[in-house]
Amino acid sequence: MFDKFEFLLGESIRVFRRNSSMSFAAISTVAISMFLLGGILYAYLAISNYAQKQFPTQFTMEVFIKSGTGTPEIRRTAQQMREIPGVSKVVLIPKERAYPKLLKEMNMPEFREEEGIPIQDKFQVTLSDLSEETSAVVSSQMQQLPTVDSDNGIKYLESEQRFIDQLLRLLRVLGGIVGFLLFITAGVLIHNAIRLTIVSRRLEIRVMQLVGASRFTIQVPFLFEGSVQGAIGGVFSGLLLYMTYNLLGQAITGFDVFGTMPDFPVWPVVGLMTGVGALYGFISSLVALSAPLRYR
Amino acid sequence: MIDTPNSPLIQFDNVEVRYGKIVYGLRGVSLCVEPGEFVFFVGKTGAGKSTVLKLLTREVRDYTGSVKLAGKEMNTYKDRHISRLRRTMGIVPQDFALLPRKRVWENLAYAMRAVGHSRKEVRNRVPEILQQVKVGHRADAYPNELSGGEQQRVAIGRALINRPPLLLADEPTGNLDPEHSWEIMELLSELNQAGTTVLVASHDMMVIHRMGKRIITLDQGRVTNDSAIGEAVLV
Repeated sequence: MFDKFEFLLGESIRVFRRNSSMSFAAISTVAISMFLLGGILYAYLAISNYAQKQFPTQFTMEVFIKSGTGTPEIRRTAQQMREIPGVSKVVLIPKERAYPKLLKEMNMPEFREEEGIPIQDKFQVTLSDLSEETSAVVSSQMQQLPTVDSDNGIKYLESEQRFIDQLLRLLRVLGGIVGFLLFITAGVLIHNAIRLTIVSRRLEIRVMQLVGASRFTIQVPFLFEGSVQGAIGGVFSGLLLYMTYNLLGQAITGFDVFGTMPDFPVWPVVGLMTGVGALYGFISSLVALSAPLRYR
Repeated sequence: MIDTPNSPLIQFDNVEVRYGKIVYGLRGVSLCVEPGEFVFFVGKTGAGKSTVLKLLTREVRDYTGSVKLAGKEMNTYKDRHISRLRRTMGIVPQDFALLPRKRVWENLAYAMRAVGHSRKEVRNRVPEILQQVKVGHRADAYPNELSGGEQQRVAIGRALINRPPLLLADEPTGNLDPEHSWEIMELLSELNQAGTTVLVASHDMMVIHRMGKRIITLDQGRVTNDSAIGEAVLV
């Protein structure tokens, strides 16, 4: 067993060394594509997190109810809101629950108003999308409901929310397209690197096939090469992400987008990137092996 | 895998192989080879000699008729079984297929390790094989330091690593001068005398006749003569 493993490992290392320039190309492309994908994903999460902390939730409006509105009317209003096109969710936040929270946020948990609770019941309305048309139409229709406070009864940060939403969409699209293209390129490069290695080792493969080596024995070194290329690319992309995170943290001090995220989890990220890279390299090399290593 | 008491080791029955729509590899070939026989397949280039051997190694997979090895029809071997099938036979290619950056003993060791032999087995068996094929004294040489005959001996040695009961050699003397050709044939004959069934595709008629073994002649994919049965098979 150990003998077999030792042989396969030795062959794998030999395969890897045989084709160093192509390996370098494959590794660097994996690293860059995963760096871009990971970076865009991280920026997306950071901005999304930031937006949630700084503004009312991305797709939400706060709708305030007139003081003294009874429970049946509130229920009816909620039902009417749910029927408005563009509304996906309506949640009632009673003032009894909102007030202690507000005091806590203001650092006055012990404060008690003598004349009862000085805020109104409100609904938190989640929109299905944040286009200018939808939010304006929903807002005006809600304003017409009789129980909704006519004076500043609807609160939402139109322009800021829209900007954040558009930024996130841009990141999603950009990240998706660029990352996808680079990821495919990396896969093709790994595939080509494996094919070149197969060509350069065709005599060894022929000898193995002549004497009846198993398909597994013949394929393992190439699968190892692809996986290692992917894994090394993944390690580099993780480290690059960490370095970029630190550099950005130092450069952008005024607008603390990254500050809203937990500390960069360097080892989990590097581990994840390595795993994803190795898996991708394995799959790319498996595709490359399917035809040329068929027993002849 | 090869254990054939009371039945032919190899049996071809009306075998036809086509390469493309109009080129025939074999046309209606029927023959039998008993265990322990030494058989030459002779004929011009394209006569079908190599096709016969390739059917047995499953390099050629599509055929009609019946090809049986040890009673088992060849097309029942799936892709995943071919490696096991190959371990029951020794294959000697015309071009030696030796690894140029490995020494003689390493060429054999590499092949043995590839089929799962341990280091200990390699240490014991490689010198034994090299002695058997008479290149023990060149164990540390690289292939390009060997004569053609020595290289072919190493290739034969490599074919013996699995102790195969069947040895297939495709033009083993094709690249050799008459003297070395004769040495290789003698070596194959010794292996045959030790019990190995040997099939050789060759067109080296001078050496073949000198060997005095069974000769099957092929022409344009047909068996035109089998010395075991005489001219009767002439088409």
